[in-house]
Amino acid sequence: MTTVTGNDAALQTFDRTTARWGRLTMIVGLLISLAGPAYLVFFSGLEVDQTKILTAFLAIAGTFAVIWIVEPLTYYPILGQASMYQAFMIGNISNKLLPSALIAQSAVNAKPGTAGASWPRLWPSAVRPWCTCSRC
Amino acid sequence: MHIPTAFDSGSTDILAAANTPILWICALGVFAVIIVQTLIYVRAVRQAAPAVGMTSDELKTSFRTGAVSAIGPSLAVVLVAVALLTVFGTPAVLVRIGLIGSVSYETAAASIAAGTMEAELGGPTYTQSVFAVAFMAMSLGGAMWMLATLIFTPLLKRGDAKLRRVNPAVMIVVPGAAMLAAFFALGFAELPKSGYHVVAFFSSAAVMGACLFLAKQLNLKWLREWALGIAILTAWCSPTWLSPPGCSRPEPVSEISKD
Repeated sequence: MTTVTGNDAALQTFDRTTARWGRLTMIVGLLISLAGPAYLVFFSGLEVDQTKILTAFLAIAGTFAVIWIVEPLTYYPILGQASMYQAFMIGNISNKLLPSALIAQSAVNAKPGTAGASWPRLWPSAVRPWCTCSRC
Repeated sequence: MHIPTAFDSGSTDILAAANTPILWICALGVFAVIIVQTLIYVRAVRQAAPAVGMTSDELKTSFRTGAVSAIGPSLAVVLVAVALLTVFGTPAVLVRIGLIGSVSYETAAASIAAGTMEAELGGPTYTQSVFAVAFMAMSLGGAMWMLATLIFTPLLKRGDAKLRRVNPAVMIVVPGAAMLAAFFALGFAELPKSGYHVVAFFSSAAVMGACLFLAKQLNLKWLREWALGIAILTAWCSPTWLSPPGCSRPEPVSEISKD
């Protein structure tokens, strides 16, 4: 192990902060996104049959349930912990977030002589293979 | 407290229900949450950067490049979202398509949901109560991704740390392979759809390759930053070169899953 303790401490702080706040903001986002339709269904005065919601949800689950499970599992090694909470709240992962993150990475890596020892660990693990530093 | 005139279960005036102030407040709330999360993340990155040898110049470049690169894909999302405004209303489109979900999932989910009530999006059977059920069901479906993420991420993090301790090389190879496979599978799935898809696929790949090659050879940093935008624009325009003048543009290339 060649890592300096200070670096590890900084990365641990980063992991802790993004885990705590990423999770918290995601839960809040989830609740607010459900609050809108819940208002329409329960409080707007529209006569909505609640079994219809269950039927509709099950029909959607029939098509997407596998993806609900598979996507977070397959994206984890690409994104890493911090970005998971960001990406799965914002959506448009493969067509917007990942390409943008990759291009941003390569733009920084393109500068000669700046390959730090461990800074790529700050970023989604996906970008590490593209890094030119000795550690990657 | 509600305004009785705005809601009528049998009415097909979706926008009267879809533009309720409460829905607008929820849309702005989601906006606020994402902004707060971004600020927290940016601050966390800034604090960790010096300790890992990343200069503030590099930080600035990476933030700017990321932002510039996101313009192209975002425009593509906006164009499709605009077309859906009359079906879902502005607040629902903002939340479901702009902020949390994606066009392909939300429209598929909404039409599946409407189908279970023997209704059709935008048709004469698409009443306010059908909209409410479809909106609720697609939101619940979207929430499942977040729920799965909230459950799996801490578990995977533990496994990741263990794996890294045992064999760091694995965690370097796996993301690269996963990424390559993911992008290739997404692109490849589009190919059989039509000749236009094939042209779009290969022209964008060629332009991306050319941009990165030129950027490296001529040391053009800006070209690297704009490469994605240029590649997307090329892919977007390329099918029109094939079709005779006056021909309508084919459907935008879409993806199957949430993102």
